[in-house]
Amino acid sequence: MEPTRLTVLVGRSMEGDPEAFGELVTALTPGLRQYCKTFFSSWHDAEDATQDAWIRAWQSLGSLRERAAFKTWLYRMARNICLDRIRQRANDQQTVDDEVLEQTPVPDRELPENVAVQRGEIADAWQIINGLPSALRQAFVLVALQGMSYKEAALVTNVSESTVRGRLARARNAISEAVS
Amino acid sequence: MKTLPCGRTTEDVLLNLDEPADLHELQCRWCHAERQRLKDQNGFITQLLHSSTPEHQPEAFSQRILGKIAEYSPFQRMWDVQDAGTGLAIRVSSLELIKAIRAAFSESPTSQLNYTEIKATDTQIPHLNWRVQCHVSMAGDSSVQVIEQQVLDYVRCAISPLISWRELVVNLVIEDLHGEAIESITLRGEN
Repeated sequence: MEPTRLTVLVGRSMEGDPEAFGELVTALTPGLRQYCKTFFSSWHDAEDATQDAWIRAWQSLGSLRERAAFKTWLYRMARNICLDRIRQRANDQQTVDDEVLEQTPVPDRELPENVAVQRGEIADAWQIINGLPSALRQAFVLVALQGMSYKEAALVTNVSESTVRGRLARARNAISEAVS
Repeated sequence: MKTLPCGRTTEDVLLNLDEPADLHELQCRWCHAERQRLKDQNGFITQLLHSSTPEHQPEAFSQRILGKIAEYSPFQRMWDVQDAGTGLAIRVSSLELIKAIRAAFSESPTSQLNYTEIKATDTQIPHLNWRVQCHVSMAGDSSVQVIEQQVLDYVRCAISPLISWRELVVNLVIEDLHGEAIESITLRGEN
């Protein structure tokens, strides 16, 4: 979606126009759902979090200060929802704390280098992405898949731009190793 | 991460994969080949991920979300006003007034309304004094001098058929394409 169109739709949504907000939902949901998936092993959990993020966004639009920052605001909200849900589920497969996330050993069965992948034989590239620690997955999905700048991804994930750069590099390296 | 014959590592190349190659990389065949390899392999996966998001029916999912959101009405400020046509005391929501302002702006060839807010500034009932915040982008061939008068007229024309008013203050904020404020002007009108 063009930035100008986004700004207008966000403005109208803040005024209370449900149709404009509906357009935002339709346009941004696929990307938001993909981002939420970086926290969970199932798409079902990712979709629940996506839905909650939109509801919270609709209810909190009045607190949005910069319309141009709507997308990072929405993604940050989604991130908080995902982390809250993971915290609530002590037995969830994913680890909670960001710092811990970075250190999380990936289950052997999902280690990128253990995924025997040949070009043309990939049934599901998500298997590779799911093998990455959540922090690396987030950086890859936000920047490489969704085209966010390092700055925007840093705002969403609450880390510095250089941390995003480092995480993305590690994610890309793992992907390359899985593919080759 | 492996070390290339030139001394740089795969990590060095990866850290700047989204940037143009630096002078060393431009002249180094190992770095050049490594960059190409990493771009090819990552590009391949990225392309696959773009083309296939599993278990997803985007329209059905968006509709489900919109259905949920419909259960939560947006907060709308209601105002006690005097109907411009009948003179009777009525209540209108901010959104009704905003819709009228938007309709007036929709005809404009020189400005686009990005966001607006309307508030009564007096404590009496019915309210007669109003402040309107208008965030607009202007066409490249227009000027602030041209649109400031237009904006005041649009707002005046929009609310006059709906409510009686005495004083109108319009805070005009001119924005760039990204919604960043470039200039702010306060306009005043009396009825």
